Amino acid sequence: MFQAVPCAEEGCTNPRIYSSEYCFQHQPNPQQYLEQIKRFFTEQDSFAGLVFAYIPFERYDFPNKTFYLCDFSHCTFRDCTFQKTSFRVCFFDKAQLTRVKGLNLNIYNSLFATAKIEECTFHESNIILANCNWIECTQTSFKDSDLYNSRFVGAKMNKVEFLDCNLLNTDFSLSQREETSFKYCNLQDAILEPEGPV
Amino acid sequence: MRLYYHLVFPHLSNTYLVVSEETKEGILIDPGSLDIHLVQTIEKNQYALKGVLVTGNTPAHTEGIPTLLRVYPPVQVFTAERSLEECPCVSIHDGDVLELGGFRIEVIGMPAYSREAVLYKIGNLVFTGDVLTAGKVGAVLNTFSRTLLIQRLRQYLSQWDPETILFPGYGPPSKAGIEVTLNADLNDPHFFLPDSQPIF
Repeated sequence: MFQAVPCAEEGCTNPRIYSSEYCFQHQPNPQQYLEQIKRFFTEQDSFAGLVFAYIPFERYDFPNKTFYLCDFSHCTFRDCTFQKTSFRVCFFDKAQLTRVKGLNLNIYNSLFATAKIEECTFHESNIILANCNWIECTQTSFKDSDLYNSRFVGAKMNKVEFLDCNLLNTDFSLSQREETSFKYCNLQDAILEPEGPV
Repeated sequence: MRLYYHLVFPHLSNTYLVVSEETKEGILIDPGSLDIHLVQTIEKNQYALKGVLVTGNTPAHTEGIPTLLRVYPPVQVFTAERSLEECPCVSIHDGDVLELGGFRIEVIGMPAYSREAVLYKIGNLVFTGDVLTAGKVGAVLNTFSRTLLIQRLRQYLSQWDPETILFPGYGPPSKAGIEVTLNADLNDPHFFLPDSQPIF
């Protein structure tokens, strides 16, 4: 389990990130840190109990990587690719995912609540028991994916496509769904009521 | 601290193993079953099981107890009941503090949910059982119980660090700050009591 130890900078309550005494904002050389973390992700395949909070990941690829109990809260992922990446009990709350491509992803028991997801694609993925409550999701596609028992309670979805997905016990209660399609999905097995405010 | 998450079939409930990395002593929370994967995790890592914590008396949280007591006979089971699955237990109460496996565990009773419902707080982790799952407060029989339950949950969630991680008995994890500000059940004014009214 990751330990949220506060940043060494006086008065800062953000957690210190992997291999550093400081949070990302107080890194003496953020660019150098980003390069170091990129190398770290390339060298290893599995990561457990590490804090990467508030790190901006831009144009990163995470192919065949496994993350267990890692903290990505408040991170931004821009133009990143996740192929055959596994996230088990990982934390993405208040993260921002923009133009992220996910293929054959395995997301399991992870927290995305309050994250912002824009122009992303999650195809042929298992997104099981994920907490996507109160996410803001726009122009995003979930295709051929298993969303079994995931929760989208209170989510704001605009132009979101669920195509041929398993929605057994997927909870969309109190969510706002504008121009959201569920083509070829087992929508009858999902929880849709009560609806959120329009 | 090391935490292992284990999905229990057929209940689809969550069992958690919390282990101290220094002492290799561990606590099992809500053993809905004791299957080979869980035993392998304990045995391969040579963890010493120091106690079992139960958040509520439902099979999804207790069915593994008889097997567990046969495999690890000296282990003690802590619950608000005197016995579970016909096994003797150490009875705990709201406000108790347990020292187990090097961990300080706070016991938080939730009598408005059910007589035996308790939450366990270990550092910045809270194991909420069926009382609170991501985005939802557990169902109770009447409005009065629901009002009391919501009031009590709000009281604790708002006093904890917003980054406190909630691990429920079912479904994915959440955080205290997220639930207290966004959970529609917890923010439903129909279930608010006037501030001056004593609760428990």
